[in-house]
Amino acid sequence: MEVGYAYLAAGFGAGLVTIGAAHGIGMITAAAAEATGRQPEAASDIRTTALIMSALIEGVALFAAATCFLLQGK
Amino acid sequence: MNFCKNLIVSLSFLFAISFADDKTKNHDSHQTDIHDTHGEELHDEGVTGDVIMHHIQDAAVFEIFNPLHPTHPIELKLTTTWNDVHPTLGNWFGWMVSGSGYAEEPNQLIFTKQSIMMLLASILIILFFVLGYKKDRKVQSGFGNLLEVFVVFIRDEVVYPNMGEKQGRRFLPLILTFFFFIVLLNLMGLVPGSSTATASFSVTVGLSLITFFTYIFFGNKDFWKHIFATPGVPIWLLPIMIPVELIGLLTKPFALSVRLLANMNAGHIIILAFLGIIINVKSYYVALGSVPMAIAINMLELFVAFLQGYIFSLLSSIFIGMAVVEHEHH
Repeated sequence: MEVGYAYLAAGFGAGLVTIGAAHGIGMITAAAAEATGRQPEAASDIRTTALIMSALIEGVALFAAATCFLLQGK
Repeated sequence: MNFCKNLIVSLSFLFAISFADDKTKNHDSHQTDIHDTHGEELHDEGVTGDVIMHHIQDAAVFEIFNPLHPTHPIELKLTTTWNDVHPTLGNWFGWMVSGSGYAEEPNQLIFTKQSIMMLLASILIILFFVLGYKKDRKVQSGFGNLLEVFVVFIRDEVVYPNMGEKQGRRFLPLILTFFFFIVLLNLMGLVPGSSTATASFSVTVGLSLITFFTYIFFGNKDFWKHIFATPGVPIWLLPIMIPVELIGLLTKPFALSVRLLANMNAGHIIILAFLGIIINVKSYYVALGSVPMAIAINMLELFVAFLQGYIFSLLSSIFIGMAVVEHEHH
């Protein structure tokens, strides 16, 4: 079977990574929204924390995306 | 003592940036025919992964869009040889660039797209601060006021909370340089037709190696004690703890560089892919959906440019703060 399994793996990998990252960022956003509802004065602190943590999660997700990109280049 | 430490850090910085050339892809197949580098062979099968990589990666030729001949961009090739600058310089400096992927002959001095961007960013930063900040006034106005917003933000929210006041003063110039350099490079890369210097391994790894050497050379005795003899750990656990701590020490600059690199690359790849769909499908109606998506992603990229600069500076100051701050003993 002369099929390119690397391309398949790259596609699957990118999809899975997106699921993980989106789930994580969604949970952070949910917690941030609820915390802002409980204490509106802390809104800007909560927003800063949520933004920083989302960027860190995105960093991890993009490691895997870069790996998938390397895979499809093979 | 401080002078020795500063000297060592600056020498290791120079050592780190001497690796800054991109050996990954061999561009000879595209650059041999000077008049048709961008031409039909590259775009025949539509916008493939190779075309996108060509637009993102570094190149020796800066291709500027020519409205009169859209398929033949104006090519800015700023290369010379060290020997042309001065006849003996080739002996001293020629070794640095021979062996890089772009040198067609040894002793060549090349200003690639990304080097031009980095030089432009450095000149812009120097101009902004020299012309914008008036020393004789207590309260800045105009452009200096805008710069002061950023500087005070970095000082009061990023550096001083993580490093304390005393150590914060030592490292504030470094963190400010990181922030302004990265933000300017990211923003300049969003202009259509220019290249993003932070979208290459060389630049991001160079910047994160600066952080790495800073916290290695300015680390406290407490910092090293926490790595090699973590307090409260029984001695039979140390052979596991020490490699784990050392790996933790090494992954931090790696993560810093890959985060910045991947974010910048991903944005550009998405924009090029959206616009490439129009070419691949060969129909104009797709543009009605594709161009607004590309514009939306461009807006997101503006935000990501600032955010990634802020995250890089924040994490650098956290790492350096962990190494430098004097702890109270429990």
